[in-house]
Amino acid sequence: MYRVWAVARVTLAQAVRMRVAAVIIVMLLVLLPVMSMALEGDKTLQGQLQTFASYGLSLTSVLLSILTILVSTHTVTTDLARKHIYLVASKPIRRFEILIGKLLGVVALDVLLLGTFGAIIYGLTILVPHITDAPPDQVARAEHEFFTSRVRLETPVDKEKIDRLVEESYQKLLSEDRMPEGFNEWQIRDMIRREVQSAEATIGPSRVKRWEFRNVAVRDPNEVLYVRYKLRAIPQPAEDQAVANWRLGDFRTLDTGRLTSETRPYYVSRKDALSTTLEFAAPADVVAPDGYVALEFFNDPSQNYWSIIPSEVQLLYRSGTFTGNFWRVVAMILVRLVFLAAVGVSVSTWLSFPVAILICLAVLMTGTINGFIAESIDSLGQTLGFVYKFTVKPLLWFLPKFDGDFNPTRFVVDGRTLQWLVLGRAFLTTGVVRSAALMLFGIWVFSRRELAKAST
Amino acid sequence: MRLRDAIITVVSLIAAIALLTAASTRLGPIQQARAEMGLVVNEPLENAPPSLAFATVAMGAFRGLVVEILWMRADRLKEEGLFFDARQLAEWITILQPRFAAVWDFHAWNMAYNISVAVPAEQWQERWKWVRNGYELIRDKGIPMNPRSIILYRSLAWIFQHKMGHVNDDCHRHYKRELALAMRPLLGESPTNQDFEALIGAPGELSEVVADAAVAQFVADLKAADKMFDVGVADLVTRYIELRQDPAKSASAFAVIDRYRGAAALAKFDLFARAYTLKNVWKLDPAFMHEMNNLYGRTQIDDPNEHLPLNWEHPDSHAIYWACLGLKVASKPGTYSIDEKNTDRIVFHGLAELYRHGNLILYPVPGQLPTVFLRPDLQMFDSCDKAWRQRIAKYELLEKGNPKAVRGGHRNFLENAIHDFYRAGHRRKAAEIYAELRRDYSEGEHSGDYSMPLVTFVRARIIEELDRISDRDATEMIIMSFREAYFRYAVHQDDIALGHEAWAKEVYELYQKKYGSVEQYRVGLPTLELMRYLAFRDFMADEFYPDYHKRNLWARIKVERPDLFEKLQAEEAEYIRKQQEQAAEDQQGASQPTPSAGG
Repeated sequence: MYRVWAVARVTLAQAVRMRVAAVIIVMLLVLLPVMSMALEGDKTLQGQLQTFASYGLSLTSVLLSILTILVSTHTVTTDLARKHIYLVASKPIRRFEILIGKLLGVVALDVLLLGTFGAIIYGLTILVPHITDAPPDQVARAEHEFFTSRVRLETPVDKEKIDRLVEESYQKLLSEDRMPEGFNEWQIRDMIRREVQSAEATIGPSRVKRWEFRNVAVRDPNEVLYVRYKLRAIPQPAEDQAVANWRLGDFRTLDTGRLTSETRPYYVSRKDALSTTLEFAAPADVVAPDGYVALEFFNDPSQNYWSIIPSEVQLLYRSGTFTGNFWRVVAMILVRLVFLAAVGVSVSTWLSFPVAILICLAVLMTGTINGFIAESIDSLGQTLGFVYKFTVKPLLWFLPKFDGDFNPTRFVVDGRTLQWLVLGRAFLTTGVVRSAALMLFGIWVFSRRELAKAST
Repeated sequence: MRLRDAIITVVSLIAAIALLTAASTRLGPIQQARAEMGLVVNEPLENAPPSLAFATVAMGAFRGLVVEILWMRADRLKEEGLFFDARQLAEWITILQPRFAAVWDFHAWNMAYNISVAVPAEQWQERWKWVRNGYELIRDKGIPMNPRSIILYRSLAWIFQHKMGHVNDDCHRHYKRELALAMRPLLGESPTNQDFEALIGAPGELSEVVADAAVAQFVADLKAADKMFDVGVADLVTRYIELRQDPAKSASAFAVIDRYRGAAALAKFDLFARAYTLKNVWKLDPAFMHEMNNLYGRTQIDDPNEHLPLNWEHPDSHAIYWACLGLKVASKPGTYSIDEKNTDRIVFHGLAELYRHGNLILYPVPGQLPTVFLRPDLQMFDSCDKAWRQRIAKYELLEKGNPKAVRGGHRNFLENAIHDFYRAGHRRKAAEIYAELRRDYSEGEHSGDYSMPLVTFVRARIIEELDRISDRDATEMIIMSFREAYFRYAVHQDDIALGHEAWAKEVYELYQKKYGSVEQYRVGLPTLELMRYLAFRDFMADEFYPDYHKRNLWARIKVERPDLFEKLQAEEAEYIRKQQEQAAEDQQGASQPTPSAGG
């Protein structure tokens, strides 16, 4: 193991001496404090904090990703091109130990720099409320909605019910000989499924829909819950707004005919913009002692002349601290850097420096828009979508995802908990499995490579 | 090098130089062709600040890519309901595309309309902030960067007219109040033309006003009294204006103002501060405001020749200002584009709105923000009428036809105005308008409509309306008139209050004359006194009016109209007595056994 660490130490020393590393370090040291003051967001304290956290973490992540790519590719390709590898390969060290040492060196650099800049961002975020002249209500709001860690609960879609309704509808069409022409069974079932899902989600005038949440582990009944949702309406109202009537509480007792409940329902009625994610707060004492709470939406026909489709309905409540959440987010960024380091070291064993850089940057870019590409494939036409589904999509699956729920900055911005499970999964799949696969491939190539052969 | 290679090299070089020279001569005509075909959306920046010029040039070909990324981020965050970055992104996008007027337009609209309504109506301050972000973006940055883009003037005017002036937004009253509270310290509660002339003549820079030793001494005393005034001119002026509204902000500084009260130095500085704020914060030119006052201002009901200032506390006045400025600066002579037409309409609709709702009453309530009420401003009639006539003439000229729809609209406007003035007690003005109506519209199918006397005409319309409604609706109509009279009385608009009372009586008499004597028990109305009392009860029970407002009304009636007070008391006693009798009858009826069906 000491041989591996020796290579790692040399790699780290080499990386630190690189001019590009110095430039990136200086850039971050200058930009981060400037950004903490210059970025005002929407000129509220929370807006300023969210803007700084978002841009600060994103900038750090991007610059360190680029640095990781440069260092990981440079360290291997330079050794090969300038024949410095002979000095190492001729020692009693195995080829795979050299590569693992290189990887560990780059990862050590990442840990060092990410830890440092993470601490700077954290420190500045904590400092900003103390040095700005924000009014007390803004400070309180930032405390509740930014300096927090809120777990998000969603109710799963009842797949069995959907499948059953789809099957019933399909059989009914079949028995009544009303199958649409020009479509195969799979397409018809798909169309029926979309209709059923839409019908299940739609709340017509005078109708009520309920979402049930269990295991809501609120620590303090005096705390606040948040309900987050998005509304659509059919047909679309001219003003793009609809009246939302919500109530939260334990309605199980009402269902059984008993009128008593240990919790007091909470009612919210307000006019909301459509197609925009919205949030409202409710007291945490609406949650029953066993962790159950129901959320109901009533489409009041006297206020809405259209059907409402609430989507992305989530319940959020405080479950941890901002500090813990922040460092989990930093750990998620580290997972990304570890993967990029593995890519860099792996491809450098068989590609030249410029080509290796290109591949790594392509992986980074693809990872950043992975979710977007996957969604785009789903919305392609039938033939093209079919082709892409069996060619491009599996490839995308293999590559990591750096967007969507794997974009860690949104957790800090939103005050949402990055759960250990999600972090663990990312660490395992991206940081361990994918990285290990790439390293194994790189080790296999490097082990068989003729080092004395001139590289093209 | 061999001779052959050398010759090839030289010939190639000559050819390259010749071709490059030939290509460069084509650059001018290509640029011209692009401009003619409207393909140039980003004109070169001239006289821009260095930072802005750097931002637009430094990125080179990557500017488009960066702009795309920023647009995508703005759209994504908006969908996720995260607006913390919207203002910043709008600023950056507009920095990178400063000459693309549609960008400013979009972002201003996005903030003022989309983002503001995503905030719950209970958080009106936050909503107001986003509406302000929207119009400030166009006013403070978009228009200075694109002074000849009429769509920006139109968009700015639209935010004032539609977002703030209309009633679609649940927080519209808050917007109106905030605008009025911002304007009142600058122009006073009822500014005159002389006030505007003084503002026009006010010094533009602090150095000019402190050239007067007394004013310089005042400023020095103010700065010495409180350090918060020892700042740059913009902050000094802002804090001075705030201090005049809220003396509690700095007792020591306000003591200085008290010391100088009545002195010319204070008056001069005050004038400078107000003019400075209008020009530099609100970007309103007092000279152009005065021009708008002369063109579209209110008139005395009995003397339409002299124009009084517009009500600058009302959003539509601002809409008219910006629309007219756009038409003046950015319209293309000889053409009448759709953008100009839409901007023109804003002026016209603004005047119509000022007539219908331009009387903005800011009712103070101790310990709370003032309440806003809107009522018709009859003094806007003449300007509105003039605008109608100009519009008719314009359509006749431009569209070379008989603009029936516009003329029809004008006729309806005049008919309604007659009733408005009559109801408010301005019978002479109503008669003048009636004469105008008779002169201009007694032709064709309307030849006999206006041949009767004014009173007959007014009453005929009342009867026509009463014919269409039930007795309950008629009762409601009369009670509403009384309620309006109480409201006007509460805000010390006594003339109009008496007008509404007289109107209620007239409607009552007409109805009773037509239906009351023959079918009293079926369709007759309650007594006038009872309806007056019910209207009073409704007014006092209406949560829309603050309690302070209602207490003031009650006190005024008690002191200034004891006859009315006695009548209300008598009606109340009678009403209570009847309620008690009815309750007793109901109870008696309930306690007696009901006879069985089998009997």
